Amino acid sequence: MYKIKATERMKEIMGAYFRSLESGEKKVAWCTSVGPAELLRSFGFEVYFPENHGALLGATRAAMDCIPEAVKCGYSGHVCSYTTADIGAFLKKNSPLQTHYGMAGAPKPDLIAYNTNQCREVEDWFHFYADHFGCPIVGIHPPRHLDEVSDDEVALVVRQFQKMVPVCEQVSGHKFDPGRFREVVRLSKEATLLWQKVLKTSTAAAPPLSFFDGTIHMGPIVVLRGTQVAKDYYALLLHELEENARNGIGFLPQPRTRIFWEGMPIWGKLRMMSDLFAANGAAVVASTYCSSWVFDQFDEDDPWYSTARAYTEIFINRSEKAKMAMLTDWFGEYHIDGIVYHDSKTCFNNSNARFGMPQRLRERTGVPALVIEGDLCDLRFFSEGQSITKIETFLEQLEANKIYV
Amino acid sequence: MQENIYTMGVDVGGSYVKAVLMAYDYEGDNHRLLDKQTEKIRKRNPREVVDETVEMVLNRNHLNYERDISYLASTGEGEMVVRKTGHFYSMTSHARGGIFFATEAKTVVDMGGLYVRAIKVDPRGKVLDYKMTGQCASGSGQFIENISRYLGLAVEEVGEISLKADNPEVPSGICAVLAETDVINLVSKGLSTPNIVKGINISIAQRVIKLLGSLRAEPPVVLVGGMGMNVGMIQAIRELAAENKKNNLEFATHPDAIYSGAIGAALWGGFRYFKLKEKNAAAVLQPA
Repeated sequence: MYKIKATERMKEIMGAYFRSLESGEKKVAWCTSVGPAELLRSFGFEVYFPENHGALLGATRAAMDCIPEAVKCGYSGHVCSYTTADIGAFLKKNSPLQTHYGMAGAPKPDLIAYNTNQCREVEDWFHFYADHFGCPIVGIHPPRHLDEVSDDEVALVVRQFQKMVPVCEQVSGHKFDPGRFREVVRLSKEATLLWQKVLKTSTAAAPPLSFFDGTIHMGPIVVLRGTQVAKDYYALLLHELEENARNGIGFLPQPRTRIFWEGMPIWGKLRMMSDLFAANGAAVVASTYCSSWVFDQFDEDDPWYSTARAYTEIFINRSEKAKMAMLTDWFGEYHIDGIVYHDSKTCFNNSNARFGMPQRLRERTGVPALVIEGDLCDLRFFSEGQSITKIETFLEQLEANKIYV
Repeated sequence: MQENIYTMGVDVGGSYVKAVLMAYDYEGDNHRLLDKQTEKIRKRNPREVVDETVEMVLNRNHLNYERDISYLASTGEGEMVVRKTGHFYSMTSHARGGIFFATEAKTVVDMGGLYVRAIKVDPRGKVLDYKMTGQCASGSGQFIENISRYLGLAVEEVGEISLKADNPEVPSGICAVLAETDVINLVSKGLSTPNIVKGINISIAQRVIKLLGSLRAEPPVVLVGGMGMNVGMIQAIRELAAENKKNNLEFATHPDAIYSGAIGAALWGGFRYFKLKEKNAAAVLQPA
């Protein structure tokens, strides 16, 4: 059975990261996953990511027990299930961080920072905690849905980033250090470029990293960007995967079809989905989701501009035109035979199948598309039986010609 | 004279096992449906139900599996068919089954227990494109079964009773649970059973028409699967198509519609058997 050896190292790293949040040695800042983590880290904050906790609640299937608690407080069961699961878990004082990492729960924030580049829901979500803890909160509101991101728009985001500085100085007790910021951006860039290369190993005929494995191995690039630890981890992982690719060793040695996954993972069904595709000879080799933590614009020589640009140019923050161009490029690069869109019931912003894009992209690229309904955390929106039928039917369609022996 | 070649198709669905026996002449030029059998799975082990159904067909025709069956093709839940030569995907089988019923069909609508699929096909039954219903079960045969149980009807009666409706009321087409609640309300309001049943058929027919529209389906259309035998449903589909100015869509049906998957599997099995036979014969003729 195919195994990625670096997984053990990743588990150690993630364990150490979570434990460090409780050490009390540093101030803690909460941040959105595609937020200005580098700036926060340059002030010496430990950075905690509630979205990572949401994913953990989804993957452990604890979300369904937590969501009703948030609903009781007035949060609709139809809004972001990261938000409702996370708030519900907080209210229930029940978190997988306790059982998996021996923590008391999420660390208490000294500062909360969010970026609406992915959705406006994070603003409501993070304000809940700012109100509860009575701690400062800063928000970045970049322009959204752009075809092209101009320098004017980047300048606007730079100004918003820079407005964070006095708050960060006050809460951290440290003056802003431009040299330290450049260093963190350099480390972040190096880790993110290694992550990009890790993902691209699956352009190989026998791909060594599936989308499903990618959702696990992306842990450090989400929570430890800007650290040497993350950079070292991706160098280790890349070395192993490149060697596998060179030797023709992949998670599916001879895939009959190569699939692109668009949208959020269905965290509580990763194993089931991974097995389903593999059983049908289909390799899910690439995704918008895992690619969302590739910030190849980062440049330590121009840290403000480059981070503002990179965080504004991410896939989820772009227009349909820009998204279609990005997807078209990925289809070619990864030799994609079909795309599966996950229409996530509670994640409107990261569901791209609701305004006809699958049809338009199919017309443009000829790549067949399937839309499956589900959710990132709330499995009550997911029907396993119907999804299996849809996926098997889709894969069958991709292979249709093979019936003519 | 050379003897017949026999193939079987076994379609294992959520509620029923369907098996057919197909006979070919020795060269594989002609085929005919010899026998068919449906068994409800109920709470039994599906593997045993499959074996019993296959044996029933074989015994009736004085055939022996090992000796006489050249290809047994499974479709649907194929892992439940232990004795099989090969497996064919469900949509592929239903598409081929549709062409068996209506050779000119350009669109096959498979209306099964769990979902509805509209499939564009070429003259050989090859799938060109398809659309299927979304997640909710209110577009499925299982939903009709649940409702008929609630109304105290046998599922086979639903079609005929629907034809007697004079003022149907359509329940929610979005969600099976809401639709069931609607039906309970309609019963308590005193609406007649034919009008309730017709309303349900219309609700599902609306989904079928929507699917055909999004597929840009071409006529003729053949309705297959278990719900393809529901005359009330067929009437509702025809009426809605007329209302939606889709008069060009002629809808063909067949009394054996429930066997479309099994028939398609048996035919694909036959196709594969004769192709391999041809290949082997060519290999024998090759000089060493």
